[in-house]
Amino acid sequence: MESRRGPRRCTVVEAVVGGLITGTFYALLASGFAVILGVTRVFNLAHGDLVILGAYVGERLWHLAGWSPILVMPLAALPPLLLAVASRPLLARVGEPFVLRSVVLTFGASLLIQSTLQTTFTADFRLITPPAWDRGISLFGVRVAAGRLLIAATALIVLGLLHLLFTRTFFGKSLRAVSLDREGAALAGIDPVRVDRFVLGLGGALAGAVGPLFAAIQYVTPSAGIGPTLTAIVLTIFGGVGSIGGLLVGGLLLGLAESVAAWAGGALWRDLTGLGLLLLVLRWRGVGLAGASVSAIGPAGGRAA
Amino acid sequence: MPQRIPCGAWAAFLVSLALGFGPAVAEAATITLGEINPLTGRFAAHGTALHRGVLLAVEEANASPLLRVTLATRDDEGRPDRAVAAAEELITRLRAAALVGGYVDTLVGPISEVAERHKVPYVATASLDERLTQRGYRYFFRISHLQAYVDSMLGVVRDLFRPRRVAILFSATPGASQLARRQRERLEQAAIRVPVFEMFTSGMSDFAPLLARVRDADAEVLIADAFFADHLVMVRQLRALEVNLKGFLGAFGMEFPEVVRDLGPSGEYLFGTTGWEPGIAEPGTEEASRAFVAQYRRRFGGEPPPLAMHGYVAARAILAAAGRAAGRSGEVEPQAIRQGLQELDLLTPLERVQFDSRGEATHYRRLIVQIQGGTRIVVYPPDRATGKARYPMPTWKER
Amino acid sequence: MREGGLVGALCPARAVFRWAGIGGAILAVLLPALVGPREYLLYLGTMALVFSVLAQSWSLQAQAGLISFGHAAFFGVGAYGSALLSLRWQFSPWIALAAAALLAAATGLAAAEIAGDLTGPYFSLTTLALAEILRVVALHWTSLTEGAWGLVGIPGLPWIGARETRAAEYYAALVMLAAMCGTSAWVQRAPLGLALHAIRQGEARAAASGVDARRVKRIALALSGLFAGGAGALHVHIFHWVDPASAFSLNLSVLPLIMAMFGGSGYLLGPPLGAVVLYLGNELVFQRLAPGGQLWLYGGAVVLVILALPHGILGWIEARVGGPRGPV
Repeated sequence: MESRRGPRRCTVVEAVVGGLITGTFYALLASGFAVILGVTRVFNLAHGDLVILGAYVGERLWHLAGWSPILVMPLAALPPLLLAVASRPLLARVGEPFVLRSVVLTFGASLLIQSTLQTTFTADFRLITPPAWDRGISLFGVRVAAGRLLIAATALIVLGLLHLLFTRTFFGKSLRAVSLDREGAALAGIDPVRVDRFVLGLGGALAGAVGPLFAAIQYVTPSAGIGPTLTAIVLTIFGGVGSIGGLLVGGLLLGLAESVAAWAGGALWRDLTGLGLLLLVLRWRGVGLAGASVSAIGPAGGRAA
Repeated sequence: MPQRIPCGAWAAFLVSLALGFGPAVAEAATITLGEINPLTGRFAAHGTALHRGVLLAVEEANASPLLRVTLATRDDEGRPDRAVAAAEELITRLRAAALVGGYVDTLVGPISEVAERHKVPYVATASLDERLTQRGYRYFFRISHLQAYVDSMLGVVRDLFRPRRVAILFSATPGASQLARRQRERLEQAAIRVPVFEMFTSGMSDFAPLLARVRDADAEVLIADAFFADHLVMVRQLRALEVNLKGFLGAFGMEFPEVVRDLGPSGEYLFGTTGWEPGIAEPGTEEASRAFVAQYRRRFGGEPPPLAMHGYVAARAILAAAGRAAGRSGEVEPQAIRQGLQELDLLTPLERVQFDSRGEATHYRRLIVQIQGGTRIVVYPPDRATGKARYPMPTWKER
Repeated sequence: MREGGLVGALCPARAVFRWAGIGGAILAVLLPALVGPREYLLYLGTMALVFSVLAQSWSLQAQAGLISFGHAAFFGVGAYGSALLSLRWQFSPWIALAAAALLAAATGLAAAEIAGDLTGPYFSLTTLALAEILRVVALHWTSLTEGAWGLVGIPGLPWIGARETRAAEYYAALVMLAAMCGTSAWVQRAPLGLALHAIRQGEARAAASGVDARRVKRIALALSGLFAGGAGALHVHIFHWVDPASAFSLNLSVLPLIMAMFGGSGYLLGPPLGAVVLYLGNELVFQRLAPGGQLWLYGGAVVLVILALPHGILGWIEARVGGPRGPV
């Protein structure tokens, strides 16, 4: 019996390592939503559905052509990118209060995307299962699936590039200018329409790109988008809309909390932890305790332009 | 005007009409059969399989001059409120004499309430919830039940595996959680410990914490009362985390061909359950089973999924019951069908169809299969086994 | 605001609307008699009314600018409350229904406390989280709710001579809707209605005019919960069954929003109109043309309303028929 099991491992460490890995994935999952909300004030409830759309693209390509989920990320990013950019003129027609109305509009879009996915791909569960990804790798004395490590590494790279975009490039800085003060940025000569188009495309692309990774660790159905959307909302509100670093920290915390809760108490506590954290974050941030950018998404939150 | 009557049934209907206009010896009894299945939505694949089975049974019946069956099909989209609306419409507007169909008990339960209220017999094609036959209803019948899963899964564990510790992971659906609870009760009665008994919600991607518990509890056998997609994720993580078990027994979904395809080499040695499938049929019905498979291939192309047989058998049961009331012409009454179902004894490839006083199928059984060399072999119960079980399974390193 | 009086609040100013409203009400009361043995139509009517109550109760919060994504919480509490009271503890279903509605109202009070001063998207998400938490609790508290199994065999509503019929359910729903609309109308006339609108404009400004936002929200959410819970309770007695996934379904939180906006959330009869049109439209027309396509209908309705009919159908009709009075 002893030889079958192998040496007993310290499972708290397992839970912690697993949680941190999942956390980096969560941060990437949220990035598309955060970018869009920060710059264009669109509260995109269809974010998760864009992720699922990318997931289906990735799954089909893997199934039909055997392409690795990592490699198909650019392709998976394409349809959500186009959808997001194409929605810009519709969003421009939405009246005040903008944030709230964008919530409702994107919600309607979410239903439409879900029904399209259901008609096109049927409601069968889908999964990307590259055999090499199932191999176990030892990390800090703990066994982790190779695939998950790969996903975490990819997430860190993409988040790092995003961070560089926002802080080091001129365009990135102009994005941040718009997110802080739309009117002011327009006066300074930055064209808000071009910025919106770019940011919507970027946000859609980020959502779509993470889709194949999602499909590799969780099964995909047309209505699976609600999970990623909720995660994105929690992390974005927690981390503040402008900060990639904040997203990452929030992601790590969320992943850690869920994993440890599951290890300690099972599925009930895992679910309750995620929801409890959401409530806490909302209470803390919603009352405007921190972050100047948060107040811009307040009740009368609108846009000047 | 009933909708969605497929061309085949219309053709059969017209043919039987023509036959009926011959010498006026036996006039056909008529019956409107209402079918409610999830043809779109989450359970579309399952509902479609059930529907096709029902269709085949109806077409078969219409080929005989004794009965003229009008099939009225409704799609409940996997939603209870649509299912109830469909049931009300079929019964009160179209005067259906019997209802057939249903995939999950969240749909079957509400439909059966409507049927009972209007005193119309309803034969459920896939219902597991024990409580549905404990209500004392006289118009509810079903051809499958949970007890069959409990008996066979417990049987193989107790008789073939004989472990000391069994872990049970189950999905948060009514059927799976009832099954899990019954399994634990019976295992503990047999002096087998259940150190891990955990529910997981669908959409849970990371089973690692649960599987770590399974490993740390030294469980020898893992019973997964879940569906194919969950088994897929679980088995992959078992491999990645190098959790070594002696046996893995999946409750639902292991009978689909995709299991072998998607799991690949990791699927070897896994156990599952099955009822009927092409090649596995109730003894004495091999020829009827082959005929069904051939008919399905001709009509729809491809191999019939097990659920198609469920639809076929349920519809055949109703039509056989109705046929006994034939001999008088005119509409067959729901009461007559109910009476006929109570007294029915019909041998089919799925099971010998007989109902007890609560409407429960008396002879439904599940068989235990194991994946060996890329195919599924029946290993339990002994009277239906086609091969020997390979237990314990080798460690992941040894494979 | 419209002409004075309760009647004035209920009856729109234009005569054609008034006659249409009265005609509709008479038809609604006589429906069971007209339908006869075709209980199918009565069932559809009952469900349309249940959704109307749900939509109307949701829009009570919306008048204060509180867009709730967690309405399912109240529905589910009412559903489970009535189910447990009538099934486990043998109360009469009518009493169970009333008690469950009160329980849901208490849930509304609790929600107001948890939400505190949050507004806008933060409020919406808090309500969503609450509904989800209740669903998880119902799923795992197996000793009370039987968890994922759900509850089976819940008694129906007894009518005259202890018989259950669809007519009993229909009239229960009709009375509930009438009470709901009456409450809404009263709220509009009362200072409470003014307070709700003040809050919608901005809580800081409202506080400056002496409006106690917390208290107003409490009342609004309690009333909203009361009727949504009643709808949930009625629902389980119609279906004789409940389970966590359906009682706290996200669908239930989302549909009232769609229906209210579609009909015109600023109008008293907007949400019920939206509910009836969308529900019956889906059942009788849409699902024959495009089975399984109800998501298309609802998604399309939302997009249409947000972009082209910002005040819903009633707003559009009113604008066409005469004079931009605008919604309240």
